[in-house]
Amino acid sequence: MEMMSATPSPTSSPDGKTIAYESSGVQMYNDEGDKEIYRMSAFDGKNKKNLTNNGADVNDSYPVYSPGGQRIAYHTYGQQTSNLDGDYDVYRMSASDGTGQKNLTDGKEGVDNEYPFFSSDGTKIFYESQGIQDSNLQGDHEVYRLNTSDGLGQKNLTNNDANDRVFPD
Amino acid sequence: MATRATTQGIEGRSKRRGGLLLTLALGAALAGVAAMGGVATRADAAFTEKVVFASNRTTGTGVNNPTGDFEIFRMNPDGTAVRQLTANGVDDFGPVLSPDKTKVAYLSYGKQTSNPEGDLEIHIMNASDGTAKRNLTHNRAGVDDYYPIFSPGGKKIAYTSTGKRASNPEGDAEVYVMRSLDGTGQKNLTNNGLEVPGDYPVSDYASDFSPTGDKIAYVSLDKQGSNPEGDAEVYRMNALDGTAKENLTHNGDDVGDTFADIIS
Repeated sequence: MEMMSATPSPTSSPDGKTIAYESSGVQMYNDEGDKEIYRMSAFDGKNKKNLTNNGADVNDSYPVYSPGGQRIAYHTYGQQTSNLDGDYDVYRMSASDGTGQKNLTDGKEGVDNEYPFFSSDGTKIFYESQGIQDSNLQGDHEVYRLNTSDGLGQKNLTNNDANDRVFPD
Repeated sequence: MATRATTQGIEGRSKRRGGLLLTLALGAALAGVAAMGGVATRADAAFTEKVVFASNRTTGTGVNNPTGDFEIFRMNPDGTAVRQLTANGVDDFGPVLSPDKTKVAYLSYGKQTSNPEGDLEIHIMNASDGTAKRNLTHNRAGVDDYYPIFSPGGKKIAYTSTGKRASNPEGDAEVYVMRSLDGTGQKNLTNNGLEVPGDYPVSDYASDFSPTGDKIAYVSLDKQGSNPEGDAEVYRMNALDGTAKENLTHNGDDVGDTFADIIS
């Protein structure tokens, strides 16, 4: 079975043709200068595209490719229609054009969901969650998973009173 | 450099948790750390993949962590069959799986037999049971090695190293490569020091191999010929020897093509 590990940003697409990365600062297609996820040709840096061009103060970062390369999962913070409380949530979108953006972890205010990575078949996303919620009464760091397609099937995999981390920030 | 990047990452968000690295008080040197969990293969019944993670838990079946520091664990993708892979009195974190999922590279910080200086080192072990541990970057005190990335074939690890040594006289962040088997063949691929006299040395942070393994993408920060503004840019270079460096995101001042959120 083919497996996937999470990768840092900038990250190479599975076929090696594209690099996804995070960029901030006022530039073409990003008048607000907040953090956006771009993609470009891995060969020469051409064909840059802002995949998450979504208004001021919505900061999108940490892109990771699905095993097949069709999707990018990422985390974002800042208020938008799909994230009214503006906390960190895990999204997914089309890797080619940024369409189909979906907040997979929209829930209780003040719960931060970050650092997604895909299962080997791409159907699940693992991530780190922090903040008090029904499945995490202590509100400490826990490792969760959910369905890539609809965000359902959320499960706290490490439910205990200690911190469980996939990412050491 | 790294401090500046850290500030950039924190900017715009007042609430930021006190994380492990901040607890470790490594500050700027660790600003580029971006290791993470992954999914490992193992031929257990029903589950052929594992999730590796770091935890400071002290209780639970099979848990041996009386000092409550961070240790590396693995579990089934449904959260069952948790197994502890490291057991010592120092922090082990940031696990990254080799492409064949048989090895875990991770960061270890604190004095131990394999690391008497206690600085940040990249270790490797067997993913199945935590045996065959080895400090791959065993070098002088004050040289921190972090952010390991396996080559697609698994034989090489690219990483970031900070601290003065013969191959890095300025001690700024540089992208190195070494053999994953034993840590030999360490080579500074971005040895670029003070490109602009009087300015900061150029800091380089490893990011990713190309799928064919012949290129490495990295983030470079500060003034140099190919980046007169000195903001963060995405570069790539030949993985073998660091030649053919190219700035892929050359886009003017104040545009940071960074993993700023990662280093916040």
